[in-house]
Amino acid sequence: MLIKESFGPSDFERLVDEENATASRLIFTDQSILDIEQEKVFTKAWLYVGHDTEIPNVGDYVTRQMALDPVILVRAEDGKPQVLLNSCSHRGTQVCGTDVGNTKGFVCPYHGWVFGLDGGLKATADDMDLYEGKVDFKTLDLTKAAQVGSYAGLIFATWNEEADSLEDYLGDARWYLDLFHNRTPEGMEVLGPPQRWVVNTNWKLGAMNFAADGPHAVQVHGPITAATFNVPPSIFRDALVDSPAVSMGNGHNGIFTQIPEVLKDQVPPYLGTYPDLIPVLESHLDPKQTELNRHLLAGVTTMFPNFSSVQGAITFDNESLPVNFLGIRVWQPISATETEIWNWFLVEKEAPQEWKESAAKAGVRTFTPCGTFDQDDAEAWVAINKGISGTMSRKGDINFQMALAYRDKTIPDFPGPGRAYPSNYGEVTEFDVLLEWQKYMKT
Amino acid sequence: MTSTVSETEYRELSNFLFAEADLLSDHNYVEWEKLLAEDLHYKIPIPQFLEQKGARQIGTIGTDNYNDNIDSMRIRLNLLKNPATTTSERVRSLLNHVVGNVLVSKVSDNEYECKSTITVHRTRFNQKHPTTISGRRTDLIRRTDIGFQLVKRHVKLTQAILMTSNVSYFF
Ligand code: FES
Ligand SMILES: [Fe+2]
Repeated sequence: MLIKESFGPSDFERLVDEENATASRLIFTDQSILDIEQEKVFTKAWLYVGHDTEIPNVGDYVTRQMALDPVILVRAEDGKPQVLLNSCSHRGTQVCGTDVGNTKGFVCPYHGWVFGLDGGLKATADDMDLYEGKVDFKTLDLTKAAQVGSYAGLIFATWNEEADSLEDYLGDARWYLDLFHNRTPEGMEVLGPPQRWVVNTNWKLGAMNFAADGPHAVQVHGPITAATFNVPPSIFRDALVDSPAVSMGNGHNGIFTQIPEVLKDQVPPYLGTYPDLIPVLESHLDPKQTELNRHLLAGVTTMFPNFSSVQGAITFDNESLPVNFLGIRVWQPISATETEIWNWFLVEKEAPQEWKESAAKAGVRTFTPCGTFDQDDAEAWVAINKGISGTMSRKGDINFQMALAYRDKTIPDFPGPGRAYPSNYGEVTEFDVLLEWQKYMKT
Repeated sequence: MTSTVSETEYRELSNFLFAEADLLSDHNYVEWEKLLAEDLHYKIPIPQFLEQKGARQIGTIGTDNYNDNIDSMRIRLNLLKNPATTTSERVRSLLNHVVGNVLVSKVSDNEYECKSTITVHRTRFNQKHPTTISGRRTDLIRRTDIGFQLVKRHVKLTQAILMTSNVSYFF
């Protein structure tokens, strides 16, 4: 039995060591730290809840999680997305028990209280008058998120009334989100409902891996990259070593892997893009965004705390042209060592149906629990959890010290905002997620 | 055209499904690949929980755990045949594919629709309890000169949230 420590704000100063680029192993295994995170991170930050195209019409809803809290994302009568705690104000029952639907309101399955699309209590079945006027029903609406906002179709919510607006929270990261979510006039749509699976690991390991971990890619994904992209691991490695990683501010980070120099003559620009959309992309994005986008092989990002995305171009028959998949996911904490991944794929609304099907297949075969990339990543994260949970093995640090070599090397003339570093291998951006986490935990 | 089958045909098709499951449990992907038709479609969608009233779909394509043709299946199999190339099976899992409820009907001169249930138990090294996932399969199986071949497989899983870090095996 491990002795439980109790952690106060000042402890988080030492649990992540900025100077030394290390972090205590405890922050990935200790349940009391996860409990503190729930309050300090997940009730304070903006959290991803769903895509605009998942709830196109008034009354459309989906049920989601904001960390441990079940919520309903619904398009209210005013046409705006609304986020309601999925917990009845009477006895706490979940008022909505399905994945997706359309409704005029929510009827609690226990005693039949009825709530409108805005969460307002409409009726307590036929029992209203039995309360003899002693209860103020106005106080019994469903709890609403303090703020709901959306950017490029991505809907976020926060329980924090004092949080900056979503625009300010995303800040410079919007410039990078545009590359994936705001690259055509009509924007992106989800291809299907979310896929969900549970991995025995801490949510931060996933968020950090997508922020992103360059050095694992050749070791873990070298063979599948060789098989699907016809690129030998050495060239893949060079591409990663020479491609930029960006800290966008507010804990948002990512890597933008470029087509290797030696292949630029053979590989057409905008690899994986539907050909007719290439001129559309070029005119919709600004020239500096285009500069980063033109020879993009893969882009992997995490918006703090737990919303990530991955794009890559892939072909599974070595004959047809590669097709981009764009996956987005949320790393939902369940416990210190369990994470539920929610995963969606997106495509340009303007793309023809056939292309959308290809994009879905490219995604399913790569970044899902049955996907040829993801299945190997998850294996490593579980192995970390196993490797750091003992009496001796939980002592000491997790190491990001490649950052010591790279953190002062920013690219001066980089086209995008934020701090850009010259290598996907730098570990600076991956570690930056923990530095942001530390800020929240210290308050 | 759907018609009932003879005892012999039922036995042949059942044996095919049992032998196929045995190859999968043995990680014998070299032999399993030979059972796949060139026009293979292997699909395992994710289940959804919907209200009767107000049911609607998200997106126009849907979401699958598997959606493979022979080309993408071969890429998967090439990784699995050489476990050094995939972390998730570098150390082989213990697998047990249990087939049941086999129902066979003939849908053309040389093709059969076979329904069956499949339960796969999988244990990774270092794992105390197996991960068990089950589903209801609908297969299209073709009689050819070189034996039966799997043309289509559609599996309805009985689990929406997969309680496992990866599914690098088949149903
Ligand atoms: S718990 Fe919801 S109506 Fe009583
Ligand atoms: Fe990875």
